Amino acid sequence: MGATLKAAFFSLQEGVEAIRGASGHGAVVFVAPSSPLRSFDAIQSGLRLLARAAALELGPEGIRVNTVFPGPTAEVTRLGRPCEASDVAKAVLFAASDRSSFMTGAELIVDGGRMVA
Amino acid sequence: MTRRLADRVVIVTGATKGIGRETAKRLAQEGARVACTGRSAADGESVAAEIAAEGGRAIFVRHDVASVADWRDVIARAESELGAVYGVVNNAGGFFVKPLGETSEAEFDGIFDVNVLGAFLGVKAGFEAIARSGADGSIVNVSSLMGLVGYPGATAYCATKGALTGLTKSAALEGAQRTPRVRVNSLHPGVIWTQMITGQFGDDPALSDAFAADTPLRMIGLPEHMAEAILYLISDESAFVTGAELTVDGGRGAD
Repeated sequence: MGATLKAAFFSLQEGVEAIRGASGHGAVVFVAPSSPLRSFDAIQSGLRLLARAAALELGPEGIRVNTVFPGPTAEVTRLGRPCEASDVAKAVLFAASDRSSFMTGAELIVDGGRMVA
Repeated sequence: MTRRLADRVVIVTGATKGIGRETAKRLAQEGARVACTGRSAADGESVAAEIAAEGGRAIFVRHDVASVADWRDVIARAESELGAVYGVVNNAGGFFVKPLGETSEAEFDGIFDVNVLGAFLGVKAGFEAIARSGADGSIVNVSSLMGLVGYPGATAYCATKGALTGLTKSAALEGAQRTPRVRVNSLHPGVIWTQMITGQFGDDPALSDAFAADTPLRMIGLPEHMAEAILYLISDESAFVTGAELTVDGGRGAD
């Protein structure tokens, strides 16, 4: 658990340095482990707050930070199928591109309706 | 690149101004045939004309979203003039800032009718129309950051937007059980520079600057930003997303 959060933290640190060295503004997208968001999962909870704090800190310099939460990849969901890599890729593309230039600190749930109830 | 909504019929309520107007135009650029609805015929006809001038297809239908009869008319005209319905964007909404103690029952009923009853009737009409289409569909409810957090002086508004957040969850569960399926998601905009805001607070550029200064991204939200998020939620880009809350607020809600 600690290793996952530590990896997220230091990859963010490195990524932000790279963005600062390039255009100066950019976007960071975390992809959370595919486990239910509603469970009291320490990694998920840690990552959620890490991303929100980073969004607040980095927002003023034009660096956005958002998180995509994939659904189960081996379980049929309410939408009749498991989560596919392309579902996650499309959400990451939206969060990384200028199409979401006013979005930061957001959570994109891509879970086939798993956490609704 | 193929267009994301080629020949799909989408109804956008409150398309006469602000977020709805920009959304109608953006969806049309992606190939959607758009039924633009609202109360102002002059504004509605002009957005339909703008879409047509860009080579898109759109109609305007005069619409009080709290009226069952009006919804019947909107669906009938969309189906007969544009084709089988794929999606609904429940965007029409009212907003006012007033202390709780000074808000009258009539004011509460008025904002509830547009923001909650209007969207409820829209989901209901959308479910029926999408069933007739024989293909899966998508519904987007435009809630608010204030459908997730409180704001002093906006108790009535927050109540309606919170109701819309909950309505979306239940509708998503029912929509997933239907054949064809209907995805239902909510968008939660932060402060977006539209008449909804300027009508309450005035349109002094200093105010826009103040909102921007108070937002982590140091910018004011624009209808174009919301149109892109609605495009993501209504199209197959989000084919695996239902019952979700998408917050696009410049980071205000992260605080």
